[in-house]
Amino acid sequence: MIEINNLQKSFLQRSGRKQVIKSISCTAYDGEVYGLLGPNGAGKTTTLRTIATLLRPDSGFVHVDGHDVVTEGRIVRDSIGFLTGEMRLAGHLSCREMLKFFGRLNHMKPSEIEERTRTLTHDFAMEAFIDRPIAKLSSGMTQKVALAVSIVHAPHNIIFDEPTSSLDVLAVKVVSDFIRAAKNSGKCVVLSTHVLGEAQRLCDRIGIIHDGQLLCEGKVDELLSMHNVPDLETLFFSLVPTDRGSL
Amino acid sequence: MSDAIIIFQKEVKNFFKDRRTLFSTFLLPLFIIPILFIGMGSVLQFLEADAQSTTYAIAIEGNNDQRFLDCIDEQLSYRLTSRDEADIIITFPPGYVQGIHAQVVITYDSSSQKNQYAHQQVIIAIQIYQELLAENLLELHGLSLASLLTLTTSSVDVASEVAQSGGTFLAMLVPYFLLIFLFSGSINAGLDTTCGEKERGSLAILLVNQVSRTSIAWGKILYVSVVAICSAGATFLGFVLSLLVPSGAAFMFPAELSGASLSGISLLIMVAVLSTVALFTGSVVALLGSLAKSVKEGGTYVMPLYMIVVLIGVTTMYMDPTSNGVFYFIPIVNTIFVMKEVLMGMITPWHVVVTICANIAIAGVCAYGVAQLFNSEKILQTV
Repeated sequence: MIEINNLQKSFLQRSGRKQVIKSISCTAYDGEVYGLLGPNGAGKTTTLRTIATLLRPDSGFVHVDGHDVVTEGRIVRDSIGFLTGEMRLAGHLSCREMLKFFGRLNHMKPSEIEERTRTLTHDFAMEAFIDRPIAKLSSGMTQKVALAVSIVHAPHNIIFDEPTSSLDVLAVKVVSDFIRAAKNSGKCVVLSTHVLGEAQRLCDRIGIIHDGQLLCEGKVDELLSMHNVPDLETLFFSLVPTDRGSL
Repeated sequence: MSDAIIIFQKEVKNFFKDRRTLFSTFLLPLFIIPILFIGMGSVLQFLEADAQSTTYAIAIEGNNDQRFLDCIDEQLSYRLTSRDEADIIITFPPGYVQGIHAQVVITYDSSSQKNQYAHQQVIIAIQIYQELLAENLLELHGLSLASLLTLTTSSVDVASEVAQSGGTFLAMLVPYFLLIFLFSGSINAGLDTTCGEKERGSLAILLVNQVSRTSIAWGKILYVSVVAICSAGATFLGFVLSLLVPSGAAFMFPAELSGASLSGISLLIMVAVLSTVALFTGSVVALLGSLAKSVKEGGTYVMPLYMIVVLIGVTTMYMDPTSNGVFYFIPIVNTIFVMKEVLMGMITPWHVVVTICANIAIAGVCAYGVAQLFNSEKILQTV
């Protein structure tokens, strides 16, 4: 379970301090997919990076399975699998070697790593390129390997930021199936995406963020009926102000 | 520390799979040194042989003494010619008579290497001719030049056997080359594994794992240090190779260098100080690389330090090892002086100990700095 309470975060810039997250409170429970939706610059990635211990909250707290991300960073990192669209694997090691490396870093036994590699290779359909160097893979293949690496230690909480951004249609299905399977096995999945159709298909509950604030949160079907809109896209545009003049 | 070893092993494995980096880090220094020395030696050898075999056009004015012509003939091959066609003009003053004081003017073109050689040979010829004239004058008074020269000199070299067998020459060049390649080796690897990984987005994947940031820092520093020491090792091998190859390289080195050798303990000290200075350069480059957002930015941070290393290498090249203890607390400087001591056979144990301790201590401080940077939000924002 991931619990975010009154999270506030600002960054120091040349022009002064910029409040990126004004106040966000939400909870993602075990056995559900929680979708964080919002336009670019809304604060989604900052929120996810805070959960992943890469950033510290200015105020408020973030707990992962009851552990504080600031004071218990290593325990939190042990229980999360985190991947953003900006994170890329690189180098000349093969996918198998990369999985072995991250498995060892997570103190997994060689037999566990081997078993996990087999499972992930099958789950993400990586059989054709598992022994190929990362440097020689397409961006879609690399993204699949990065996904596999982020969850090699079978974390209880999975945090994906735009996980399908560079994947083709077939690969998107592979990832979607994996997310559903993770949810069904009782894991807590937090997903950030700008593909609203994908969010509607995958997420049990969503939170829409704009300008560092949570505009609404709840189960997808409940939100749709509450706002009397047919789909997530209509709901999104009814809540998030669009500034056509700036285009 | 086991996590640091895992990261180190992964980095090394990745490194050895990258042929281009492997070439520039190991093969290039291994072959560039012999190619450099053999090439330069061969060119110099060729130039000297060419200068010696050339027949020079010489014009001699104001003295047609056959003995003078014989003196010149002993020094270089020449043909007499007119002033207009001459490479070198030797002018004696008008009315010159053998045995009187006279100003001899040698006119030559110094922009030509061959003419410079001929000029030197003519000066020697004039010196011999002058001695010949002096001998003749003394004979008229029943004396000989040898009887006037009452003092002879002989020298006893008390330098160590190692220093005499080319150690001094090695102490001048080897530390400089080793440090330059050690530092350049650590720059490539250090920037690639820090800001290079940031740029590619692969550092964040490492930072969100449960491994401690200190382990990440040490793993990367160890890797950079090993690459640097291997780069320096390849340079040293290249140097040895250029000594062994029977070619133009021998022309560049003093003859006594062929007898140069390092004892086991000397080699051990060299490896120890180089390993610790590699740890130092690795940690400094990793620290600067971690501060940068991109390899380009990292390069601008590291380059001034590289220039300082080059400057230290050049300024200490002709310096003798110092007994001033302060220098042995300063990384790079201490390593150069200890290597000089080793190569000249004048090892001072406490200099070695201070150097090793100082290098490790400062590397430790830098490693702590890298770990702090990996914990710093300002840096984490950029991964």
